[in-house]
Amino acid sequence: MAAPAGVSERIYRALLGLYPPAFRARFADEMVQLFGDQLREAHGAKRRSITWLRTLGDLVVTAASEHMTKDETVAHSLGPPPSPRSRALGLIGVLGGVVLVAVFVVDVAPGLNVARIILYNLGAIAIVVAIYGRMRTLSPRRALAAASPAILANAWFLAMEVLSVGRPQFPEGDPEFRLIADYAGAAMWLSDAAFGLAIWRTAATIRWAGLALTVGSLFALSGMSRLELVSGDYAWFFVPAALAGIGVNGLSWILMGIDIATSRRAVRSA
Amino acid sequence: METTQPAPPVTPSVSRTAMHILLAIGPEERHGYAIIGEVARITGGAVHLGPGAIYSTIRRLLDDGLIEESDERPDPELDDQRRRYYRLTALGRAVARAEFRRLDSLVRASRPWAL
Repeated sequence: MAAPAGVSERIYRALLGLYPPAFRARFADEMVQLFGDQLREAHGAKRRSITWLRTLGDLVVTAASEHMTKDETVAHSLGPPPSPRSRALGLIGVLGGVVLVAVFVVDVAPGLNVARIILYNLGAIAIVVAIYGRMRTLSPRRALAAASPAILANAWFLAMEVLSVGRPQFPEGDPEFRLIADYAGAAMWLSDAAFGLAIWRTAATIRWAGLALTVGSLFALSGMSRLELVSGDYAWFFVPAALAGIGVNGLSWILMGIDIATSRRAVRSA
Repeated sequence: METTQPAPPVTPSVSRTAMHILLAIGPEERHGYAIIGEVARITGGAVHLGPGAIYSTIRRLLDDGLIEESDERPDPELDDQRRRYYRLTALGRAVARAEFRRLDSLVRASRPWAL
């Protein structure tokens, strides 16, 4: 407790990891400096201990509060409404998620399957573009590293679906084309999963939706026939898990689309 | 009597901590540590804000446009240049005035029997 201010400030800076990344990126330096000022003003071991204890209590309460209310403002009604572009991207994303989830609810004619997947991929790309706009103000490198693969992989998968029109369907058909299509599918699920993690880290939209996207995409990946998990000894687990993963993936895009299209989130400065 | 600016159409009721911070900043430009000192002074030492409480509230006040960061930096010989200074926006002043009027009216109404 009576450690020199330099050590105390380093410990306090490490403890600031409890706050959401966006909050930390914005205020960590000032908070550490303020804490240092308070410690320098507190003479004697007892007063320094009191300052430390008071700060720890403050940290626990406000870090939890920031996680729960990080998107809230003092007066939420003052937040700017979403732009027409955000509304449009969000709605395309919702539509993409809905057509993916719809397959669990209604029978989709085989002829419409390609259209369904095209809508799904366009929706995913729309959401990624919208979230990239938010994420880059918080963490430009992470935004680029997460959004680029997700956009490219979804576009690749979409292109493979378009190219597959008129070709013999699985299990017949060109094995090389099938292999490339499988690579596209794997890249799509993996990049979606990574993008979900970036959302979780940056809180650029609903964090739980980001986590759901990651989990759903990984389970959906496990359903790829080439991995042979859905035809092996553990098919009893992987078949329903893969189906659930696709559903969760679709629901997470819907949630994020609604947030993007409707949230009166305040614009943050970097 | 001072002429008061008309309140904006939306004058939200802000939290007590937010109100303390708006009051502490007042017509000045203040950094976090100065705001904490001013809050302690105006509340007679009853309120001690920690770094988390103050920056959590500052974050919301900034997002709502009630305060803004000043572009100016202090003279490096007089103060640490890393400090950020905050000041009230026109909306922040209007919201603070509306809140003070509300509190003033409560105090006046309660004076005959409670004070």
